[in-house]
Amino acid sequence: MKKEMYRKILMVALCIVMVFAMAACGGGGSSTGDSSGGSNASTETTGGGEPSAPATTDKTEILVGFAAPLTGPLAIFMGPTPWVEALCLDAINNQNGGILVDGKQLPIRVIYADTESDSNKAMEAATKLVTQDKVDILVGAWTPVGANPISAVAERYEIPAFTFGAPEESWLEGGPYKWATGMHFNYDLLCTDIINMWNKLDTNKKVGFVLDTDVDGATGREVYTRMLEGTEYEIFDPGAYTIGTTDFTSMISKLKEANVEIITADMITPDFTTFWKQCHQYGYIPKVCTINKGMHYEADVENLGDDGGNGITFSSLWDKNFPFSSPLLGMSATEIADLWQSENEGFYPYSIGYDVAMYDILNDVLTRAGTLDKATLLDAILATDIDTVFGNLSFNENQCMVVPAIATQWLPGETFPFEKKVVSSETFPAIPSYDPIIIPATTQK
Amino acid sequence: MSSVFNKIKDNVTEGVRENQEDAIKRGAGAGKRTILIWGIAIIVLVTVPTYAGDYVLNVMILMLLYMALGQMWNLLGGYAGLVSLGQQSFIGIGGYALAIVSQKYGLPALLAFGIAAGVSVVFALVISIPIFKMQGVYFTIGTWIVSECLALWFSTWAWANYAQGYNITITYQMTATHIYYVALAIGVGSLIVVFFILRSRLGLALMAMRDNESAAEVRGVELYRTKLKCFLISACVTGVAGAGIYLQQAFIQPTNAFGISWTVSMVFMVVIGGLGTVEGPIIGAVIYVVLRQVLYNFPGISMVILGIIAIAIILLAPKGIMGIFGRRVTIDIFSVRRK
Repeated sequence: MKKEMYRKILMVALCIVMVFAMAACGGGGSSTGDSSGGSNASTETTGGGEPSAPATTDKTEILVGFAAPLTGPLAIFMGPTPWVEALCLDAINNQNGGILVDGKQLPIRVIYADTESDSNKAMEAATKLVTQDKVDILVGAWTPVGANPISAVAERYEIPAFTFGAPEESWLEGGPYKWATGMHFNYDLLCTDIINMWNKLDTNKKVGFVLDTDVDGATGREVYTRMLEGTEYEIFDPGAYTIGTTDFTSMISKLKEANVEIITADMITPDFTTFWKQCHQYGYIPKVCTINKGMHYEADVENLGDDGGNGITFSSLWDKNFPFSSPLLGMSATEIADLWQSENEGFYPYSIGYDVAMYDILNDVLTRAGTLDKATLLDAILATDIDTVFGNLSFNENQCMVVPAIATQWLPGETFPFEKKVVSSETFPAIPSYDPIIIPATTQK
Repeated sequence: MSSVFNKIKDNVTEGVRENQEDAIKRGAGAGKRTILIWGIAIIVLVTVPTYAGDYVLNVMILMLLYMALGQMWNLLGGYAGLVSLGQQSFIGIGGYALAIVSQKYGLPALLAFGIAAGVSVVFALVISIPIFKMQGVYFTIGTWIVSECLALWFSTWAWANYAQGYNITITYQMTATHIYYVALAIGVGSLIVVFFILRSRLGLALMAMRDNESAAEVRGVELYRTKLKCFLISACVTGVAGAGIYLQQAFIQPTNAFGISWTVSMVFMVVIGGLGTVEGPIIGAVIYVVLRQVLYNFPGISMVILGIIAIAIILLAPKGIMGIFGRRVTIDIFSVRRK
């Protein structure tokens, strides 16, 4: 009797879930029908280049679909996004009264879909934004796991897309693109700055790779090997490790035996924390430790304990000392970072720069386009030439804006235990850098 | 751990047996009705692109492909008693077959499906040598380890473009309708394969093994060969489904292609649908895909909600949805018995 009751409850619950789900799908289905028309219209427009006026004048808002890693290991990049969104949308929708589209002032609304830091889910999430939510423009972010599949969705459904936060080389693997565009850093330029930084140090020029089996690790191995070939540097490669490894002692032992004084590590923060602590336990402290991918946040450096983070060098993708401003917010990079620190706890995260630049470009593109016709929007995106918190940005022949990625060092700070200083920015000379580089105190023991 | 695993296996076996008994009870008098249902279903499925938009088509594509995966996992776990956590090996092989054939060599994508099937069968045959020496939980873990090894190997394999993987750009030009018909062929194909297997001598042997391996062996069922056949068929269809999935996904990387999350999805679908039934993975796939779509509206907590729903269903209906329907509804559109 009790079992029967349970089953009845279950059936009712399932029916509710199914009805709820089908209603959601049905909504999608019916509006997909509308959108089929819209989609056809946009396809025709692509060919003819004429704006489809009736489809856009009925709009009450501009929908931006943001497929982003809200959960999973990449979610850390999205931490400051709500704060930046509130700031920028306030400037666009409230202070400027929206954007003039086909004679109407329309506000921007951002719809998020969680990629769960997974490329398969990124594809599904972006497809849902395009086919069900009918977004006017697609935004995708962070690493090739997000940027590449979201760009594929843009190409398949012929919708303008703007992606950011991946190495340009990895993103271009999915090209040539027609509808997808990107704001990415260039791995070659980054490695150039890192090698320039090493050149300023007195070391035995032995470089040890601590690279993971992920795409960034593979890219790092290829680029460093190519760039260091024929130079005075000698490479020592103990082999790739798997993300999530908890025992690096074998690798550390090899690096120590090879007398490696420069380590270049491509590690997420938890892996690096484990690795670096084991290095100290093993009594192996290289003169230079340069890390890509991880250690972007001051709290992470503090977590290394004692003096463990002092002097760690890393690839910084944005810094408050960039001498540039946001045209949308009317604030300099320093002012934006300081505002973040005054309204939030802790050291500013660098991903603020990417988020602000994205809204700068979005505002500029939509204002210039003056319509939500897809082909016109794409043309407006590709014609972008704007000064942002990354400096002047415009697209190259691969539809990519290359943003600075420069060598930076964590050093003891005044406001926070650690603060970062740009130590090599030869590839982007407008960005000031500091000399001399201080070899980590820990290495001098 | 072994005793816990055996207990779970006993419960599963008991649940499967009860589901089958229910199916037998439903049996007679469903002939004409079954043909009618099949006919309507085929007409509806074939004509979906004429009246549905891109979103519904995409949801249908996912349902069909996930259903194929669920059917194959069910064939192993529900009938042959081979609880595998490594079916993603064949999804990855299928996906990479598509990527390498079309992207690296510029050959027709259709060719990739044949290669995916062939390579998956050969790979399954090779790994069956060590894997089939393991039993129970050891087999389960062994299959998982094979997948992890594949992920590592592909991540460091230059020919497969290391961990960068491939954007399968040939699929950019394909519309949702094109992909839908491919998915329909794979989904219905998997259903037909399972249906005819279960109505064959192999199916009888599988069900006998599932109920009692020792008794089946005494009655002349060759356990090793029967399991191997089942494993190879499952690998073949999963490989083809993998190619279909990446035709839809358009981007493949080793960590995702060989990730455990594929098998978690398969287990979810089969368990909530009903283990050891042909209808179970169909219902499971529909529920799973619809839930996933709805849960996109709850970013950040979607996985938590999905997990709670899964736990609730497992607790309240351990034999899955089919276990509940089996006692009440007499429609049996996938009767595994010859009438």
